[in-house]
Amino acid sequence: MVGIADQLPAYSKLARLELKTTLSYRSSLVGGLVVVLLRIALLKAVWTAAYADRPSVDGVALPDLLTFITLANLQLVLMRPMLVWYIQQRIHEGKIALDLVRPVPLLGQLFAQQVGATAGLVPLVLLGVPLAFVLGNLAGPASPGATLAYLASLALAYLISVLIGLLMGLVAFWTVQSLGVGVIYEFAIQFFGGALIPLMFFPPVLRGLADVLPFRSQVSIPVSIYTGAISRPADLAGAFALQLFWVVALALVVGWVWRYAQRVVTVQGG
Amino acid sequence: MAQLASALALWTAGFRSTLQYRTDTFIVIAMALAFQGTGFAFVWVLLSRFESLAGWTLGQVAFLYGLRLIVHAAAGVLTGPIFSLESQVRSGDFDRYLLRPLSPLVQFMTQRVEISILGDLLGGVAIFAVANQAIGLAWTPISVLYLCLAVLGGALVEGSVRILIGAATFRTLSSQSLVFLADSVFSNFANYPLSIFGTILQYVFTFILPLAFVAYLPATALLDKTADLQVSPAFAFAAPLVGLAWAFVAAVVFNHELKHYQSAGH
Repeated sequence: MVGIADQLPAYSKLARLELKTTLSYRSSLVGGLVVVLLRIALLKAVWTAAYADRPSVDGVALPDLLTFITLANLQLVLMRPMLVWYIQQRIHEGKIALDLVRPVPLLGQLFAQQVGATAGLVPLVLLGVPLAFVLGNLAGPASPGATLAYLASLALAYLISVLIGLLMGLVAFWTVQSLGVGVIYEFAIQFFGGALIPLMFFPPVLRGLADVLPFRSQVSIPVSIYTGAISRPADLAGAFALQLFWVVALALVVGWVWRYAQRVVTVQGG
Repeated sequence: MAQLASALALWTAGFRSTLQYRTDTFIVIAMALAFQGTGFAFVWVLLSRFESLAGWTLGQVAFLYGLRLIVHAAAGVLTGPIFSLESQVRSGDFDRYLLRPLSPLVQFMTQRVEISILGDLLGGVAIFAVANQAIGLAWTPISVLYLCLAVLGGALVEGSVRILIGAATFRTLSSQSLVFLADSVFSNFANYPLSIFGTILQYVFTFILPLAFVAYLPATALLDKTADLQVSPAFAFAAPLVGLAWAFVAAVVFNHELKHYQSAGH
């Protein structure tokens, strides 16, 4: 039995390869950034018009709201589940059979590849920060403590995103088509995560729905920690507990689905 | 006339072939609805909380939003395949349109139908119908006729922008990311009363990237809101004609650039 420590070099190699692949598609990277920046500019115009001349609504000042929206949309770039596309492509090409017989487990391979692909997006997001500042608004974090808590919360949000990505990717084992699910997910996370409208402005029914979905833990919670909206120890503890709950719950579901997925996989041309 | 009949026959064949892929059809429609649904959910929740946007009520913005989606679907009927122009020019597959006795532009645009237009059309008609009910607009035969012409004119404007960008492919071999970008600007900005974007952008969106003609200008005419406009109200009433003018320019430019097509394998 090979331990996880022996597999680490393999995982890091996979992640680095995926990083290179991501970086080599520069024009599609830039295109992706432009789309996000356009969305931020649009949201700024719409929110500014909605606020009209009111300095604040429900205790939220316009610049704070714009910081929230800007950071939420930039951060969503990092949460993009590239492995959904990757799994679907491997299944279409029949190469999933090769992946399955490799000496490191498939779920681990996919995880490493997602991490590599995300690493490729980091420079893009950093490049977007000054532009987002101009097109939207970005204030600094609420406090040094908030910065640390934000980074921890962002890491948990990322884990949740990868787990949801794996789950959607595994759908392709049954339907050979998971792309659509991935696209619909990207819109759902924007809306129910609070990247277009902060959740406190939601009407009660939608708010209730947003509260039971995992998207809040991926978008709204880390950004609220950054802006200081979540800062009291009890609130912070509650926020981290909710994120941890989703990590554990999704990990269990992924493990369970994976057990069945292995039996039904279709290998094209095999 | 014979050209038009051939175009229609080609388009119908393209539509039938697309419908063969049932699961894809369903998923693509769901994707389009999710995209447009998210955008509209944003408008809806925002305006339920904030009453109005630059003097436009929820019903009025929804009217504009629905109209924009219907026009977008119509633009998809006319120019849906534009997104594959780059790959067909690079691979040399574009050759085949030069061999048949029908305008290459028409052949290219009728080769297949993007099924996502069904999603846009469903969403657009639903939003438009509910909005129309909410604001209780009094329709006359003239305004109905104007609406139909405005949809066609708006689709011609959106399609012309796509064709003009696509025409660059014959020389540069790349246009896809620009076409996507233009599409993204249209999908984001054309859904809102343009007065929220400030004076300069309003002029840009009227004369340079003419997305004002897609839905905003016709909507101001139908909703009697032309007083909002930076430009003369005549632009709102002439919106359908502007579409024809852009389409003419786009076709001329496309056919001119087509001479630079080199095929592949030289």
